[in-house]
Amino acid sequence: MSYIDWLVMCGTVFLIVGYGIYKSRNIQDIRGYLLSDKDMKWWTIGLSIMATQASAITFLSTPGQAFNDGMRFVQFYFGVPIAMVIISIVAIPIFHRLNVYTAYEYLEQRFDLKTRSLAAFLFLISRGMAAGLTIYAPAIILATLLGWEIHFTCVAIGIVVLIYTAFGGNRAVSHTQKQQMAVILVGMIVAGVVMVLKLPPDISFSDAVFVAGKMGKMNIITSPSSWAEFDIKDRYNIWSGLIGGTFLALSYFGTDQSQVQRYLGGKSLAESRIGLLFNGMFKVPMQFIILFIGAMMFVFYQFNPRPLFFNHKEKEAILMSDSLGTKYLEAEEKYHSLNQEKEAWIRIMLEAKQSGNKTRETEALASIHNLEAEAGLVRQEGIELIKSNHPAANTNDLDKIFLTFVLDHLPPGLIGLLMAVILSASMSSSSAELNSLATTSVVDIYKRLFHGDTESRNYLRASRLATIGWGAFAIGFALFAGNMGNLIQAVNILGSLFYGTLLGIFVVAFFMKKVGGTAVFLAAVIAEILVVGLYVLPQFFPIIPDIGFLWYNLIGCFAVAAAAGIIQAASPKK
Amino acid sequence: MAEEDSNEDLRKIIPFVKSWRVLYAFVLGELLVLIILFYWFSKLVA
Repeated sequence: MSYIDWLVMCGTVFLIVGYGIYKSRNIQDIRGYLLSDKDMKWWTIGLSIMATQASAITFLSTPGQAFNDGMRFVQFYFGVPIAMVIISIVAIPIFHRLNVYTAYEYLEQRFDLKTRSLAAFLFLISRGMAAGLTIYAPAIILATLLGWEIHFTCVAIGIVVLIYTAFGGNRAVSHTQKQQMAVILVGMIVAGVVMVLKLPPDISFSDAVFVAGKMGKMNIITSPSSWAEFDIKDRYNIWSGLIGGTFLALSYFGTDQSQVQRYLGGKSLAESRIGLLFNGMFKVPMQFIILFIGAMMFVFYQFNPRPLFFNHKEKEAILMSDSLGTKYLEAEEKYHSLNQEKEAWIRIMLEAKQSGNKTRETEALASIHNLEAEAGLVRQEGIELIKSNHPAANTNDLDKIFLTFVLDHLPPGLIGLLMAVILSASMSSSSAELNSLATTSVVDIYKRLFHGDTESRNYLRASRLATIGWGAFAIGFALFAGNMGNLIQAVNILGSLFYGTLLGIFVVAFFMKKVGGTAVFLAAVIAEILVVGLYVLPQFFPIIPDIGFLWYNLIGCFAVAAAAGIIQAASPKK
Repeated sequence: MAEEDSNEDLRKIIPFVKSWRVLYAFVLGELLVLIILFYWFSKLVA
């Protein structure tokens, strides 16, 4: 990176942190620290909700997802608008009326203390580990591509986030997220525009869209043609998006304190609701734009040299080996040659399209697909060589494709802006997580279980200490994450294992008025065992189907509701 | 809070939206329009 990139990146980050500290300088008590004195406007809430969900990995991996698999990933977000409407109607009025700090406080009023504590505990486990990953995941990518030291990168990101989150609490988090979201949106749109402008002069924007479509990257809506073809393992189709995605979004936005806290700080019920609906309206278009950038990046690399493997570090490692390095270079040369041949056929296809020669267009497309398949085999050969050289190598380079484009093709200044985008996204998610973990630890555990919910103590200090404690835990987790093998995947699965149960508890609370605390508590325990069983058992008994974990949310939720209903009906009437 | 008061709060923030039901319909309608547009676009360029 050049000096101007460092200036843009550091300037953006420090301005945002300074703004957050300035806006939260007058905090006096726990209400100001955890709920921003309930003075947030709807646009702050809406942007804050979007920024909390959009982590750095969202902006690094999503374009790579479209590059590799097309735009169908957008269907994953179709449940968001539906969930926003349901939460606006059902949950927000109750949370506002009860004036709660956390979603779990409501569970004690509706059921009992043990159900509240169980829900808070499930949240702390899953979100606590995720907070470490939110720091680690972008740090490993930045460190790999920029040559930074990974431990330094984790600690630097963690400490910057911790400074303003511990000082200003929810107010600092929400106000900085507005600026972070603005930086993210501007940066991504600028990157997309530069990408299109850097296409060869004879390739227009409509040609680029045509090529992306013909090469299968514009598969925005996918659906099995019959129920017989329905594959429950397929994560991204319209049905998993609308049904599974709705349950996932209901769980995440309705029961995860890192999101609930964003809208609990609303000045009124109306401000909170509009903030949430704002997210419902803009989430799908935003993801569409990011995926579209990925599809355009795919086209860009059809007309520009495309690395055989996007992880520079692994490439450098294999080139150090004489025999494997030579084989890798041979594979790379073959890959480039196939891509050049493919580029020529793409131009033939575009000429045929313009002249209306359908036969030639079909012939060109068939050649393109054959060459793409052949290039795919050569790439796989390269990946096998990387694995032979370094068996523990991470051979998934999806999240490095966009950053490679940024570093190789954007002009100085814009590289710094895109680095600021990644850091902003990482900070916005981490700060909201630390803030919500501190809130739940203090309000649901420390204040409720150890001080009988009295208001006599200085909980502001406890909240700041809890934020620092969770920050230290997250940084520590991030520092050791690299040594723990497949932990990243394990933590992602862990989160989805708990969401369905949490949602089920809230669904029973809202809609099954006759069910009491003991019934829902037992049902939650049963549902959790069922969901964990569905995850673990297929690994030992292949006869049990392996289900895509988006469906765990739905299964966990229904299991809690059904078991709670049955237990309540079977219980002796008082 | 009565539904009428609630709608009044909404109109203070977004004067041109009459009620929450209209806003909810707008959000869900937008999703429907986007799905239709995406489907049409997918078919057009495939």
